[in-house]
Amino acid sequence: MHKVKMGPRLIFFISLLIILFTLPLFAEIDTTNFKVPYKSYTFDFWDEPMPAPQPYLPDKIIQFSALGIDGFSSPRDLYVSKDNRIYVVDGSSGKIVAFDQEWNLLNVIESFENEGEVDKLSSPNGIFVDHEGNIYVADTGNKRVVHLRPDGELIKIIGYPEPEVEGILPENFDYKPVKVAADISGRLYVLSEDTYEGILQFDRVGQFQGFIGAPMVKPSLWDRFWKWFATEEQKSRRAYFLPTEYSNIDIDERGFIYATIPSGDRVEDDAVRKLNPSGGDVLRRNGFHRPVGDIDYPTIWEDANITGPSTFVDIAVQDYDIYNVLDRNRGRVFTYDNNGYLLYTFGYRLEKYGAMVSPVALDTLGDHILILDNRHNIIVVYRPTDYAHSILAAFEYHYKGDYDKSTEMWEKVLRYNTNNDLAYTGLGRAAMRLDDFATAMEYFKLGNNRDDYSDALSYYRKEVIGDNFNKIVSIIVLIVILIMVLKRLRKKGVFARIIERTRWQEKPILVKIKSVYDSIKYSRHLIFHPFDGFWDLKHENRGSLPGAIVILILVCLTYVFTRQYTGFIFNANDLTELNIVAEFLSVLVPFLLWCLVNWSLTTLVEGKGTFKDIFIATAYALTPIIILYIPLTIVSNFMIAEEGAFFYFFLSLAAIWAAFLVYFGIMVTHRFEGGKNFLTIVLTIAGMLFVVFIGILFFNLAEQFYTFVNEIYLEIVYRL
Amino acid sequence: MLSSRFSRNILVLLIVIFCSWAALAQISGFDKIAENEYLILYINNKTTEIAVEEKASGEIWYSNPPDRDKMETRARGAARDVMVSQLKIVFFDMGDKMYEMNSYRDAVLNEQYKITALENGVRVDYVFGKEWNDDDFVPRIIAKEKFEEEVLANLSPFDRDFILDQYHLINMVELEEGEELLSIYGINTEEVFRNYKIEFLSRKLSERDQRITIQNILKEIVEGRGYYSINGIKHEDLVPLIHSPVYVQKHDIIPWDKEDINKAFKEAGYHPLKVQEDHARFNYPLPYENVRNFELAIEYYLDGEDLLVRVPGDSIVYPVNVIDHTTGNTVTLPLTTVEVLPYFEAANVEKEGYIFVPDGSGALINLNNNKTNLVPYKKQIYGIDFSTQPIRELQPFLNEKIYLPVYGLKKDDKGFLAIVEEGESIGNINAEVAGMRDSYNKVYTSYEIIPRTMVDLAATENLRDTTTLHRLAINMYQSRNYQGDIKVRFKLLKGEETDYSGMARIYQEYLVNKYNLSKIEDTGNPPFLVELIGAIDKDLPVMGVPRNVTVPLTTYEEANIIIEELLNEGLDNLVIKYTGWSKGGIRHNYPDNVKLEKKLGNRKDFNSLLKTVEENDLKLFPDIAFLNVYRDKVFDGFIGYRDNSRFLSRRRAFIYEEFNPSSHQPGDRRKNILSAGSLDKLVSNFLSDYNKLDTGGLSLRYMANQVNADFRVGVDEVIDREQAKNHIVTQLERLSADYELLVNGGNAYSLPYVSYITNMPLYSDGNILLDRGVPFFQMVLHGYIHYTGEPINLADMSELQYLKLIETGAIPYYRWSYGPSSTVKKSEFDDLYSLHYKDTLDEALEFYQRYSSIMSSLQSQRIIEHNQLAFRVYETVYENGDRIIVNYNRDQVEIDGHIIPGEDYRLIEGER
Repeated sequence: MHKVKMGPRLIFFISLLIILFTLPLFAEIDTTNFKVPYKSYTFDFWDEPMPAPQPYLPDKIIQFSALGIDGFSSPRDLYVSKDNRIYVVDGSSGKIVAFDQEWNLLNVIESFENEGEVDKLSSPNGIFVDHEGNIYVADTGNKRVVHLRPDGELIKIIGYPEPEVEGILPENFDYKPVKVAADISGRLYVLSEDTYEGILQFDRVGQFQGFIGAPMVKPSLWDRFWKWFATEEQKSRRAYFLPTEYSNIDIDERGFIYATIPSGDRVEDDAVRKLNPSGGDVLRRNGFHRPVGDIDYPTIWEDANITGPSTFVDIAVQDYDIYNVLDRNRGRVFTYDNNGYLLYTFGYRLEKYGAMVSPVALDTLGDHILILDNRHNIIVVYRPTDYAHSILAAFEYHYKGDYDKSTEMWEKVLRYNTNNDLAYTGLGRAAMRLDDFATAMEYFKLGNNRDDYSDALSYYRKEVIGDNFNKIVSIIVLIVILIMVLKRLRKKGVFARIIERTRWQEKPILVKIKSVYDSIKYSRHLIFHPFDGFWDLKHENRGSLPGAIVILILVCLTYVFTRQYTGFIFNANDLTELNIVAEFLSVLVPFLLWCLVNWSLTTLVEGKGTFKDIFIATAYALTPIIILYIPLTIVSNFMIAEEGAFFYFFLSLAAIWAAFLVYFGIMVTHRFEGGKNFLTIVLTIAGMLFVVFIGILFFNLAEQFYTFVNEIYLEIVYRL
Repeated sequence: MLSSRFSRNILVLLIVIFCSWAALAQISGFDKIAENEYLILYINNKTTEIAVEEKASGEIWYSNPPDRDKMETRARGAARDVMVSQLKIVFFDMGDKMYEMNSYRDAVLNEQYKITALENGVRVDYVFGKEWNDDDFVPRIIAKEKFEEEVLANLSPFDRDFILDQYHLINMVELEEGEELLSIYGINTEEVFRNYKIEFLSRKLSERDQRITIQNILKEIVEGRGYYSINGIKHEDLVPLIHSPVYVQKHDIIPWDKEDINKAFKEAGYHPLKVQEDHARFNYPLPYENVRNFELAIEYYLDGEDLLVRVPGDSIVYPVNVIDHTTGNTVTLPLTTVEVLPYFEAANVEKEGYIFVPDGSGALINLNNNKTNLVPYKKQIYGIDFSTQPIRELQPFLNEKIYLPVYGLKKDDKGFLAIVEEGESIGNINAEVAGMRDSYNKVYTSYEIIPRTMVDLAATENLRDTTTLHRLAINMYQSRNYQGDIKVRFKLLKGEETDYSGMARIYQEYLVNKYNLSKIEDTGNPPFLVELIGAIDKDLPVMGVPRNVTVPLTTYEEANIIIEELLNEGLDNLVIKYTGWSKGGIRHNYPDNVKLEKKLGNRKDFNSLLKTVEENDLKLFPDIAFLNVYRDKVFDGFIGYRDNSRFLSRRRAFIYEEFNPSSHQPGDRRKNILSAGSLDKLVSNFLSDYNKLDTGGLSLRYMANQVNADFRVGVDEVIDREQAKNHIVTQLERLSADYELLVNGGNAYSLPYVSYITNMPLYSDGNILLDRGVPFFQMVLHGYIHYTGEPINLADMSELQYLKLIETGAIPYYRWSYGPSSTVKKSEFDDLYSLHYKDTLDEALEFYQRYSSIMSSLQSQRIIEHNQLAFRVYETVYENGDRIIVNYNRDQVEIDGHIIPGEDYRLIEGER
């Protein structure tokens, strides 16, 4: 009874739906009447999004349903040919439409003749047009790639890949071509759905050559750790090591393949790859971040309309190796330069004019960007604003060698947007080309570009040394002479006599200071002779608590100094966000925790050191940090990136030295033998972790308790 | 089954006949109830629909579509009944479940309405929701005499037999000798019945039927006495039945007879109160009055040429702490929303025209645009009430809001423009196209009589998506309902005035007459508006410890320098808005006393700035934020528990200030919302200091684009949104007495008091339900108030801004600083990314020159028409006949022989 009634009604409803979806929603919509529905930004060096002017504004909306093509309701892919024709392939009807750049409909390919019979595409997903204007279509439903002339005449069909050598194709290989691209020589690259081996490569005549560019599996440390312990069953259940699959490819004039990998729950680090013909990834990732789209995105735990990382579904390369990627998740376009710097971003997923609901493909038409919206059956045409124009022009002039013009453009960009740090890099590069290294360094610093800064510094250093070689040598000679003179004077006791004359012994405060000074001075001996050094420190009272405290404060200050004044190349800190208190605590808290845990532990195992002894010994043991860090910090300002190994070696040296001293200090203080000492130290570290753990636990509990009480309170208040 | 289908067919036939008959006599069913010089008001006494006829032309405007029976193809049943309603209400039960009622189905059909003629109008009082359920009219047990006297006697013989057929006459009498009691499952029959039995007098029943009937009687008694189960029943409960013949309802009544039974009892005049008596006598459960009753009235007046509709605030009655006898609980059913005349002049699928909504600058929704899979349009007048729940100031999904309480509809050559005169701040404008819910295009207002929000019981007050189900969230309501009136004025349009230009002209005329707006005086060059940013605040390390410090961008002296420079360039009509000039910068201290920011200079510097302004006859508008409190210091006049507005959750209300353009998540920084009740005191204190500065002008940051209620617990403490608006209006009036005012946005209530509006919407929101944006707001104000949109150098659509200013007659506006733009980096003000004045000075001067060459003669002219001439080509016609044609296309166009280059404009002078 029910079914009989439901039938016609359901059909009526469905047909109604179809009518509704195919009616033009956007016919002749003037986007200049509506405010643009998204904001633009870039990320700065510290992952913070910085607002930016709009790079692209919606210009036109092309509505397929207004064209009156029968059944054209689910466009899947879009491609703009070299001669600026726009090709769109429809998944539901299998038709291909072509427009000229004025959006006049050129032709509709509904079917083609294949060996005397009418053949049609079945659920095609990808389209590509080569430099001669011939069309390749990934005919997914028919498991083949169809090669057509511009007028729809069949050239050839590239069917199921048949390898010349056995074993290239995986078992149970299911060929579902979805995206396709060809290089100038006619080599064909095909993406097949659910294929993790990479991109299928065919030669000119359609012979399958093999896979290239398989996305590498890079298990994280934790994954490796997990793999160690996991049983076979657990391993199979966790699809950790499943390589990812490409979502789309584009090919540039030189035959490099740009491929995108969609992100899932977590960010795919290699979301964009640039493959050379042999499949190696040569994409430069020198920007502030890897080109992965949004750095700062809400997770599924947060309340946001759209959560998770950007998921790239299409890529389009334009001149100067600048590439645009389309994020399906938020409907944004991200544009990166050849170095991987984010130039700008625009778009959003919304039911608004100029936004997209279901973006599936993008391409560039001249300086315009076209985005295909599968849901509304439209292409949104975006046109660049003067801001984006200026950025692109700056690149153009730079490539052409017109550095003055390039500088001019970057200055204009900065006038538009003071937040654009890339402009400073651009200005710096232009200055570099004009051999103005000092200015270049200044700009690279403003642009937070450490690589280029290092280059500029190396030239600048050479230049300065070259220009001032005599001066530098004479200054060094002078300093050496000065030191020798001072030493000689000291040997003769000149300084001692001067100090004697102050009659400091009569003033108790000065006596005190002298004794503290002496105790600190002792550390110089101690760091080179740890065994008897620590013995004397404790038993001969060579060290003192005030001395230890002073050393500790000096260590704190050294940390602050290092944080602020390490050379720009080695210093990724935000200098404007110094917090001395936090810096001090970062030294003091672990220090005191160490002393406390060690003391409580050693009293149990009959260590001979008191808390004070431990405190003093540990503080003295940190002296190498002061001695090495300060000169290193100064020197780091004159070092370039390549010399970083030297810098980091000495930094580690200081740390290791200090660690050794701590070890011996504890040993001597407690009169432990080696094995016992090692054990106590390990236990101390474990104890410190335990205390931290307990502390966190306590805070968590306290917070939960607070939440609980608050919730009860709220419920009472609200319900009353 | 067959018969019901047959009767339905007959019904359909009848409707068809009725329709064709109705079509012949258009106004039939309606009675004339009021008349004035221009109009006649009709009312349909059966449905309470109204109609207004214009005497001169004979045109008729209907409250509900008169052709609905013919044109409606989608809606059925309840959805069809709504189309006859004049009021619709929404309420919630105690379990936060939402219900809707409408005046036709829930009042008129129950005959719970009263029509009262008024002078020049008519009033209809409704009671929504049945007072008694239909079943309540029918006693399930009744004494024989009473039944015969009060029911049967009043029935026709046919009905009498029918009703008698539904009852058994029984009597409880002593058992005869040797007779066995009928055993009833579940009770101790002997104890309950003792030596009585139930005798069936009306007809003979099988033992099984007897048993069921008796069981049913017992069940009713159990329920009536409130026992837990049938074995709780005692002999005493049956005593009233002994030796008193009663009629009891049969247990096997056929469902479709029920309606007829109910009808018969109603016709017999048997009232539920009598049923109560009957049931009480025999320990049956009592029928009670429904608690879900709502009272509401609507009044229609003929006011000159307009129809004025009023929903009196004192007519609103909803259940507050009433006892629901069926459950014994105390119940409050908050009446949250009232929709007024949802079908006024609704347009059917054959009409052409559009709906006008004041979204941003104004927008049109074409009738029957087929966008039926989208959600209907709904937007709050005057934007969001920030006091309802924690929310970000910048809404990523909400580009523009509604500033004007007007809406309109054009269908063919007829239409209307509605102006909400009272209650607009709790109002929403709703629009729907045919095919969404029914076959009509309509636009109407709804009102949040009791604002509501969902509050999360989790302790953290973060932005939370309250729609997700796994959260425990409950509804919170304003403590009392809105008590003022709702008043909507319908301007009836026909002929040539029926388009958005005509609507704009009519609304302008309305505003001019109502508020005595005066025209701008022609002062030569058009104004050039410069906003200078004084100081901002930023987290910077001071002695190595990060602190929030004030950083100067444009000191008083530097402001002077910029002004001098602009004067030298020949800009003699400078209007300067000075933001962040007082202590604390843009996020200034609580302004109950006015202090200059030391980092910007001293009093002398400020005075010399004032002197420059005065000497050159310029205008200076120092900017101040009254409604939001950025900093709450210990010793300022802001006392949280007193001056801070409350959320619906009764917590202190705040707004998230930061906006993350990437994640769209709010940051930590927030500002408090000032309770409108504390505004008067704040302004008094402010003025006592500010008067000494002698600036002549004042810029108000939020007074014309934010209206926030104060949802305190106490019924007397609540300041609802309309009251908050009135507080703001009072202060605007007071401030405008001494100062020339500049405001942001420009909510309609501020218009009588201001001379400049900045950040007015020049675009409408890009909701794809809308088909076109139109500069309605600008057409209304041009010639009376100077206005402009976002600053050109920082506008979202900066490139189009020049053309847009020309098209809409807005004045040039830049936001500048003397200091370098890079100062804003790494601060909360990093969206001011192009601020340094030198960066945009040249292009500004160039634009101003072109602008003033065509606009200087048009400043005081009204815009009388705005048209789309071709795709992306618009003309603005001024009252002196001048036309400006703007071409947004990249290529040139030719209009009437005039060539307009791509992205350019042309002034075509009218004949004078």
